[in-house]
Amino acid sequence: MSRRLGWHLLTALVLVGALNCSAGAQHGQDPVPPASTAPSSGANPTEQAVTEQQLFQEMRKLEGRITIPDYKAALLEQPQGRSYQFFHERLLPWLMGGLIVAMIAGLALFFLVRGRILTEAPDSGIKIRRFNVLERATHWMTATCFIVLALSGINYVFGKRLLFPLIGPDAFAALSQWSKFAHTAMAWPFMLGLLIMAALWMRGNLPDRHDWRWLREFGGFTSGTHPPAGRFNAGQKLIFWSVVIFGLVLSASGIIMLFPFWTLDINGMQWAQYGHASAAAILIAVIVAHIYIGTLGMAGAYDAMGRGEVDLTWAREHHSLWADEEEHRIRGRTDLAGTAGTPAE
Amino acid sequence: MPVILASIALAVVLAIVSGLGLFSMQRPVYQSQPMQSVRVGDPGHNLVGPNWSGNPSQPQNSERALNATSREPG
Amino acid sequence: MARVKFLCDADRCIECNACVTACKNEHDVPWGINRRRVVTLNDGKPGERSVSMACMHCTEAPCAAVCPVDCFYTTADGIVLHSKDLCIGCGYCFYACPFGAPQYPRAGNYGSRGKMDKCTYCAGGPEQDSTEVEYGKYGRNRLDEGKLPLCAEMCSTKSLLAGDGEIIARIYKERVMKRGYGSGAWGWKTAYRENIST
Repeated sequence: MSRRLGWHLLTALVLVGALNCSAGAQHGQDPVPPASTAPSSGANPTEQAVTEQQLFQEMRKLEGRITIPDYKAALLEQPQGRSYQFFHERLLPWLMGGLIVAMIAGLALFFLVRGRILTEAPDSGIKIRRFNVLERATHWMTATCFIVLALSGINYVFGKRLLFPLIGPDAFAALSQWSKFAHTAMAWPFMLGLLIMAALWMRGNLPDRHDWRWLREFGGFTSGTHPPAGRFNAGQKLIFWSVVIFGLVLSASGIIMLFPFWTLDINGMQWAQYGHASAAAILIAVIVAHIYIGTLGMAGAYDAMGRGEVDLTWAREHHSLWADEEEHRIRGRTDLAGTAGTPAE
Repeated sequence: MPVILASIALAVVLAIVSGLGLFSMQRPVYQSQPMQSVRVGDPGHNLVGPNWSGNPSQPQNSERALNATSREPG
Repeated sequence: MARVKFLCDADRCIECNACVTACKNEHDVPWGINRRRVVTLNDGKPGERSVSMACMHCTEAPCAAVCPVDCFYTTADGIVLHSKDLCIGCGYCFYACPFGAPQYPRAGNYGSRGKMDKCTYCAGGPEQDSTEVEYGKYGRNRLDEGKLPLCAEMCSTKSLLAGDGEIIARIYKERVMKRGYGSGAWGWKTAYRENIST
């Protein structure tokens, strides 16, 4: 019995001694503690998580991973939304309103100073064809679309400021809803007409050697005499190229916006809006001038597109080179009938 | 004048046609953003029985309901 | 009156999506619309953080500013709500929103994206409070019953906090001090133009 007790006591002593040895690290001879209780290198990975400010320095917008298939929802934060707000609410109304009002004021001033541009010689009564049926139909189709597009577009910018207080929220919302449909629907015949017009008139609107003189003399405003011009003078060429270039910008940005996020992300879509609105502001101002000169600004101009024929005197004064060509062509054709004369060109 | 009126009419007709075309192209978001996992609205491919209409208040066929409980829900 | 806000403590969020499920269920949100979503940053890497994001109900909300039919309004509590009757579905609010909160039921062409839908802070809409009509359009109105948004109530780790802005800011500050770190109140600088100093 005492031997067993002795063995028990010895085991107990050994165990207590072993426990004492492993318990404290404060004794100099103790073994190195296991790695899990060792003090770490000081880097706590959870403390080093990314912060919002840090991410903004690295990326323009914050995105992550999500569990839903709508990839737009992976966006966490895009501060560019505030820039969009600035453009849409502060910059654009001034840009668009400023350009249009400035153009109207400029035209009014021009009309007061110069008055309606009349032909100096009286009408000859002889009509020559200026635009054929295809040209006129395309122009008027595109023009109708442009008017609707411009008005519905202006409603997006100024509607809630100008129209909403007049007709109240329900009527304004219904009107805006239908103007939105009109805008997206009329865009397609506009784009079609734009392409046809560009194809029909591109050759006639290429710059030639008479354009610089025409521009310098501002069409005869500064010199007092009519500078020569072909079928389209330099002023008309400016209109044509404005319509083509800004029209293409509008079409491209418009199609991008018609199919949102099909090709671009949120920042790209915002830029599509900026381009579309800016091009629209410029083009509306240009077209206001175009409408002015084609109706009130110049006598005899409306007939060109409205009826397709212009008076020969008008043609000789404003488009002298083109009138010469047309006269030669007509005379040449009648010459073929039998009598001698200047040959067709 | 007839040319102008015809052009306006043509613009309106083309606009209506393109508007209808665009409208028919449109899809609800749950169709245009497809996901590979199960869809409750697809009859026959889901896990709650082929007659599931998506409307939880409609009474189910009780036998099918009993059979359905033996399977793991999605 | 208290100015209510959301605060998602990214260090506690475990991406369980209980907030997403609670919101979808409570308001009968149609398929495809995601009023609330959980975005995970640095997925799988050290320092992975998840943030639950929905409408933050910003001060001077950009969505309200750019709406061409002015269908938004801000309540006395600071909640940004809108009227689906006036909404024309143009999408400008989505471009302006820094958090991508507005959702539209139809994708594809801009012409008819449907009425915009977004988190309402469980406060319904301009219809009369707690009616069937309001529920059908905007979802449950919990605030009218004196309750807080369900997403924050259902959060399994209490990482998503909703309520009086000052109270939740204080709660977050206490947490940060207790544990010694915090990745910040995500979105507060952009939405409310204030930082929580920790």
